[in-house]
Amino acid sequence: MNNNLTDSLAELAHLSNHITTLKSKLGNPEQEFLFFEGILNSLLTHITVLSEQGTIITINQAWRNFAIENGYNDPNYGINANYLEVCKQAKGPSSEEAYEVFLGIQAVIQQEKSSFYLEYPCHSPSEKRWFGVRASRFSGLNNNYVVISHENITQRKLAELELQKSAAELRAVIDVALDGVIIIDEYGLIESINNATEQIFGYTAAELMQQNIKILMPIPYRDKHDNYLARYRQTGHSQVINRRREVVGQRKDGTLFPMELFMSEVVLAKRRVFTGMVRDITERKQNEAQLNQYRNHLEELVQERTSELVAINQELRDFAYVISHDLKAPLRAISSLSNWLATDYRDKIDESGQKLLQLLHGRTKRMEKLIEGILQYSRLGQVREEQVSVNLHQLVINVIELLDPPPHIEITLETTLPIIMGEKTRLAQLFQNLISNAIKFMDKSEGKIRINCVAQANYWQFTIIDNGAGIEAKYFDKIFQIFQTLTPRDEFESSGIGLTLVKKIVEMYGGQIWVESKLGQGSTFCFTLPQ
Amino acid sequence: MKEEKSILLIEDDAIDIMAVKRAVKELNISNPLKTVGNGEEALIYLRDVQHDMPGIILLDLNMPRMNGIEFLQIAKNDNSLKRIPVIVLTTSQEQQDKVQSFNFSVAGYMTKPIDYLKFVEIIHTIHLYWTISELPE
Repeated sequence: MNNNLTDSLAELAHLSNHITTLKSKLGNPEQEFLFFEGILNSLLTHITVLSEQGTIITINQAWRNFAIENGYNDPNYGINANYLEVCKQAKGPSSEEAYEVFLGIQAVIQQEKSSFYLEYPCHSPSEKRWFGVRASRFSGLNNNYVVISHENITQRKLAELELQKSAAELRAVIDVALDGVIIIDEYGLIESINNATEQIFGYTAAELMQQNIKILMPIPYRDKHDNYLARYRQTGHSQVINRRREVVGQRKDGTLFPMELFMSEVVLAKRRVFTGMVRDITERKQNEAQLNQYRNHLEELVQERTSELVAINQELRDFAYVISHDLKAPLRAISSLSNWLATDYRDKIDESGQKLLQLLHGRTKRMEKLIEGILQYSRLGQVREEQVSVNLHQLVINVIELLDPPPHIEITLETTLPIIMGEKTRLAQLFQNLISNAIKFMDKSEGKIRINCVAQANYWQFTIIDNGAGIEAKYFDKIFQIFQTLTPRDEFESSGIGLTLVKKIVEMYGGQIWVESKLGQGSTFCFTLPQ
Repeated sequence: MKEEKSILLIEDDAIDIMAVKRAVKELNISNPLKTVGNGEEALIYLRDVQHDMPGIILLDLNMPRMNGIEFLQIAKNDNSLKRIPVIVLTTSQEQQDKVQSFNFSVAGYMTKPIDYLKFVEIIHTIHLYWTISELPE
């Protein structure tokens, strides 16, 4: 232990009342020295005390250890070396910082500064390190001194760098975001914006910084915004926070545009700020408007077409009425007149003349049936009865009774027919036409007509099988077409409308109908109705 | 039908008029048969004090100037006419025509058959029914 240090520490001790008190407690200078040396050595910070000339007067244990770690083998660990000169003439990677330290210490010594602080990197081959060096001055009884405290701040520095890196990354992400990001303080002053915000509003970041956010809004919102914020600060009530809203923004050039805004509140370092995400939705709005326009146009078109269809439907209804009345009336006249001719001139018309009148009468009946058929067909799509639950089994039994089949034809219900929802008249028409066809075209002495029904996945399949004349496969489609018959009308008085009606009824219920048949062996008509 | 009362036929078709006349004659119905061509003529006839009130009206629906339904609308709201029984005799089998006719309390609704002989049967039935039925004085 040298005297210089003892002196210095003695002088140091003078500086504090506290220490003065201590001193009296400790008793003698040797005791005081051990006391302060003990304190210094317990510190992790590397400490050295320089004279005003920069000469190292003393160092603590941490400094000593640091020197050993860094390969200094001087048994005095630099004591009596001139630290200023060391710094001034340093070579190598940290020489610039060393020179800066030299200037700093010099400034402190020359009382230009009360203290000096520098953080600098000092990376070893194996790890990255940073150090902080601090120089401060104190005056002794006779001399001034400089304390250099030096410590490894790598951990703090790494954390800082990490934070900076995260912030930079975040910034980079925010800057490439398509949405504008704006951070304002509690009073509406803009603290930060990203690139997209500049593009959306046409301002540079510099123009917006510390401006009130309201300059991005048009009047009247602009004038009300301060009040909104004030109210929010007071009550916590807001229409915007944490809600996606469509609002109007105003660009630097004064133009307005629709934008989507999402504001949220963030507490940063005990300070409340608001972050806003803004998106220019001009294009979306235009698309929506265009879509609306298309939709309206489409609706107009549909309405137009519908009214056209309604008109056409009305025309068809009128047409059916015309047929029902205007065609039937003259037909009735022809029928009556031929009857009266045959009656009133019985004596004057010979047998062949009477036969002609009979033929005329027959044709008027056929014409009447055709007209009835057209009427029935056209009425099918118009008047709809109420949908009721219909017991098809009972309905078919009634239909058969009504048709009153001749004794050589046997009609069997092979399965129980289901109860379904439908219109009674139409369902009766359906079965009546199919069964009466089977009866009409029965050419066998023992006629058999079988009716059954099986349940499929979601529909019923009905089958009507006869052993009658049968139909050639090439006519399978034709028989369902209106006014198509396969036999001369003089043999069978048939309107050619029955199967067309049947098909239309089945299809109205969403079912299908088809026929399987072999000429001479009979036909099988199948149709489906949904369950 | 009551002996003294006339039958008023409101009909525009000449052959249908002939058919009614023929049927009435064939059935030996003695009531006088008066004929008018449409609803307007019928109202003029019925409101003419010189004419006796008919015992029954046979009404066609489809006629020029004033059709059968329009005639019913007026006649059935006329206190002096509304009790005369009206039988609609028409070609129309339209549900709407039937509903409208019965809304005006017609006494019957017959569709004219194509076959004249069936037409005679219809007139015969009407005659029988109205011979039995009582009418207010």
